[in-house]
Amino acid sequence: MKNLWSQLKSYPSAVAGLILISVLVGIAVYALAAIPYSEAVRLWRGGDNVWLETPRNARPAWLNFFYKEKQPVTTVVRSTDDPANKTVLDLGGGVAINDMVLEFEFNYDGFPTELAVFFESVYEAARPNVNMTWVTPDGREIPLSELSVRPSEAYRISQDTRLLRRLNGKQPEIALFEDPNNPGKPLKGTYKLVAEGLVFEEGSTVDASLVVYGKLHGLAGTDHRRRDITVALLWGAPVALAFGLVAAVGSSLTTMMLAAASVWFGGWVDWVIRRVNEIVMILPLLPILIMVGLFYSRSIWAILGVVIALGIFGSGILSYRSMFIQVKESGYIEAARAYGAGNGRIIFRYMIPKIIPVLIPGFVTQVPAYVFLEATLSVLGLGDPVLPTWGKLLNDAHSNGALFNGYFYWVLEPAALLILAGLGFAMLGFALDRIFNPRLRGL
Amino acid sequence: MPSLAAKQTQEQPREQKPVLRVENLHTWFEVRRMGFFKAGDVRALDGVSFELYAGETISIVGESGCGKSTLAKTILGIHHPTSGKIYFEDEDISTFDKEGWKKYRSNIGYIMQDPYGALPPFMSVKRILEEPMKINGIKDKKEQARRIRQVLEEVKLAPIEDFLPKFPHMLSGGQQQRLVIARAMILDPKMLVADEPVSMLDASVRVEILQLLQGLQRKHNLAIIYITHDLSTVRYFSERIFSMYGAKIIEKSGTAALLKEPLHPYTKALFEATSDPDAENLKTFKDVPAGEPPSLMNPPTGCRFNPRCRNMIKGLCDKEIPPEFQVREDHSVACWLYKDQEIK
Amino acid sequence: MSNVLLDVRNLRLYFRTKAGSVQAVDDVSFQLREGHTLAVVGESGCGKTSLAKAILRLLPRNIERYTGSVIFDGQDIMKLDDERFRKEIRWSKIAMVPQASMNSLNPVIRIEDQLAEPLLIHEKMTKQQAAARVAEVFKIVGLPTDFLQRYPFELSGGMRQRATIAMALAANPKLVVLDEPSSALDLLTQANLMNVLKKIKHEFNTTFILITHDIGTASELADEVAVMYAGEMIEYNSAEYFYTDAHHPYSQKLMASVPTLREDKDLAFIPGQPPSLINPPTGCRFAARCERRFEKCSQHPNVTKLGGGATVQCWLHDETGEVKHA
Repeated sequence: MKNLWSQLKSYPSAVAGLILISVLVGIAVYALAAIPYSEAVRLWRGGDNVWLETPRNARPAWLNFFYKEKQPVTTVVRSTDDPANKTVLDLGGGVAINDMVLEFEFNYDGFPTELAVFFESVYEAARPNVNMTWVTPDGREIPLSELSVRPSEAYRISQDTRLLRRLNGKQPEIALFEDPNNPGKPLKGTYKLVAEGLVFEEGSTVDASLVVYGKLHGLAGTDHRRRDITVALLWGAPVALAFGLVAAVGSSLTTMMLAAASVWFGGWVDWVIRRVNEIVMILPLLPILIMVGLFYSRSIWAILGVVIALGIFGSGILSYRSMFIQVKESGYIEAARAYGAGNGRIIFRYMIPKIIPVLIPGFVTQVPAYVFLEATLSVLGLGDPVLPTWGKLLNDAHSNGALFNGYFYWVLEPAALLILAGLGFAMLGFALDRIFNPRLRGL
Repeated sequence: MPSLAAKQTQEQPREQKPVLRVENLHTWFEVRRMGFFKAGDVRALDGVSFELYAGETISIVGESGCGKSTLAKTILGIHHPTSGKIYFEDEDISTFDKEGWKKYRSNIGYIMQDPYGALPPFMSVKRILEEPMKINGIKDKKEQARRIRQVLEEVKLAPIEDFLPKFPHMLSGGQQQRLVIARAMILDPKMLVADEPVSMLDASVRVEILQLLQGLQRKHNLAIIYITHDLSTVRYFSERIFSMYGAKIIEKSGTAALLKEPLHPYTKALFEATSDPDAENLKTFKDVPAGEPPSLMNPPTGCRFNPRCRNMIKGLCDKEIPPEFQVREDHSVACWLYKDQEIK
Repeated sequence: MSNVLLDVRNLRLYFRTKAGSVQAVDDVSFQLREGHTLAVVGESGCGKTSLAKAILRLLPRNIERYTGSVIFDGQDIMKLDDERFRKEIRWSKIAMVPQASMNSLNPVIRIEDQLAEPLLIHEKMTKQQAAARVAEVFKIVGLPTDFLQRYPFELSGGMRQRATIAMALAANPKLVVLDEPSSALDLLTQANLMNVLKKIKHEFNTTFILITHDIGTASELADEVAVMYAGEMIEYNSAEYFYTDAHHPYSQKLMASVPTLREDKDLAFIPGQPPSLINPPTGCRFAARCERRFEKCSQHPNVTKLGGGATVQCWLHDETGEVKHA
């Protein structure tokens, strides 16, 4: 083992592969620790209140680093953030003015994508009433709307058609930010949303949150359903690694055991295993998986089971078989028989360990194949229905025309992770192959 | 100077019972076509009988395919005899139950030709030596450690602690063969089967291994079956020599008698073919028969050597299988040439 | 006295490995006369096969050092470039029968075609000429010519080995290098093969280098014997003297360890193991196992020329060729 490690260190590709794999494992561990399974499922299922405050189809925030014209990220200002944001003026008889001033700095060179105000209110019978005004840095005051708010009310400024008309058909998120002296450019400075709330009952309150949706969000951006892609990228790592490793280990170990049994027992056992193998070899894997997905279950674990079961057979069993035929003839097997080793012991303690060194590089290089298989199934729409995976990101990106709409990050991020996983395992696998099979060693 | 002298034949106390008795042993392998249809039998061992006593070595000489390895493997229980009986200390091994087999296996050690192939490359010396004990019911760790220490001392793999964690590929050829011998000795056997134990080793190591086996035999009063194609080593190691050809034993003799005067034309040919290191060899041609050993699927009728034999008697050798003629007290030969020389 | 056919001077062949430089052939010099057979003997890993490969320039890629001169038939063939060496020397003038070559025949090509192939390529023979020559060498090695139409798997091991020897002889080379030609064969087959080689040697005056670990069998063919130990040729002697009175303590020990059939002698073995070819000891490489070592053995021994063209690399033999007894 120690020896293996020192040999591995002398292969740069193995070191690079190991680094890539440990990065992926690190991501996977972080994902499992930071976002528990149920939370991941909840986040990815989305729903009404999960992704209220994230923009739709936003690019990753770090892109600003490369942009000359800095694009806005999402700004959220709440009346509850700071007591100074809200002053309450009691007019008596239960009537009070909740004067909310939501102030924020806007120093970007691009316009926001959307504007929305979310209200939370408490009342018994009479809804509070809110009157909103937009104050630009240069002091212009633009009246927005007046509405009565339910306990949870969303006022989407960008979709206010009356406002749109008042702004001469200009999208509010542009009109409200545009510099009058420099059309097409936003005016930088401190903006204010003044929301004058009027409550009509004792104990009734109203609070507002202003969300200025940016063009950029988070590490990885967001998708068409405002979901943060980071969640899927993070959770995709453990899913991909687990799927790849379990499938590769499961199928190669079983393959090896079958091949060993086939060779050791010979006779009808060998005959049956070889015939079954020939039959399974001509079965097409992908269509079977699609059928399983359509008619049985799309759960990743069901698919995994089928992948392992079908992966057992194939050319691998034949190549292991030919190796075992050689092993069976070796002197130490004969010696073991002479001192009375039984069939099970000979297969598991004498035959398989001899082949393991050949197996390890093989299965390391198989891992990405299974990772890609899972991604392929997801892209085809047969991914696990609840879990976020890299393949499902690609599927979403594809079905939402990501590349036509310029959402390149949506495709490139999961693809990059898939490539890195493939690269990592392949580089490690090739180095292991050279270590375990000295004939391949270059001089 | 470490050296090995020719073995002095001791008077055999023949009243004692033999360790191993083999009676008319046949081991045939079925040959199948397409996996199902029987095409015939390879008669790898075709009627072999002998007795082996404690403390004695029988050398079995012959070329590849003569059945000597099949004989070894049949005795070891790796192959099952088609017919005939093997008695170990007067017990028929075919009647053994599981425990009987365990006991039998513990009593026979097996030493093979290729020491590297005979050792599982993925096991350490310690594990290699533990395996036979684990399988044959020696589970006590202390007892295991004691036996490992003892056998490694006996085969002179010292210091023991240095060798225990090593893997076979870290050992030299001679050390590997010592380890194989240690493994054969770990169950404290009464008998060893050594199939070409030195033929893959270098000359200088060969002697060392033969000497080691000789020492072990003396110490443990081992019965040894020494299988070899090299007549020149048998002198140092054995009391009796059996010469095998075509799956049969064709000549049985005391070592000294055979080396003095081989009788069977085939044994004579083996003799002639063996080159002693001597510059005179350059000047002479070897008088050896041409041809190949017989097919064991369709062996020739009569004596199996008759197609290659220049003394072949037409109508006899090619028709009838020669019986064993006892021509001297310790020398018998299965050859029609000696039919009139039998002693009564 | 016949002419010197092969004159090897200070031949060195080092391989580069991860563990260090392997000095497989280290400063080997010898002369071989035409029509003579040199048996190169030694234990496994002593460099005898590397020596053959160095002469034939059949080298792996990890060469660290390949120096010295090999003068063959008056021409320093080390100076030839690879292309010329391949075209003019290998096969046509120096042929080799590699170890276990009987298993290296292509199983799906008939023997005749395999034997004729090099003749068509190297000797630019026509098909008829090649076929005639192949039939001729087949007869020389004692195989019936109807076997030419067979495939290798239809022949026994001994026949296949004869076929590979026939292949080596086909281009009528002056020197044939045989690497363990008989060690995988059965005793009688081996004896028959040695008879064939002996016949070729006598009839065609072919020069052989026979590489073997079997000192007994080597005596069947050898006019001269060279002993290799840890990459060095420690003794070169005529067979006549070598088998009765070897010079080097290692040779003596080696001879003492060979069992004999016809003579009852006590066998000796050499304790210890040969040194690694990576960083061998600076002094005599056998010193650690030698019973006759003395102070001087910690220095590297010179090659001492003894009478009759014999050489020995041992401090026990000084410049005048007298044996010093320590």
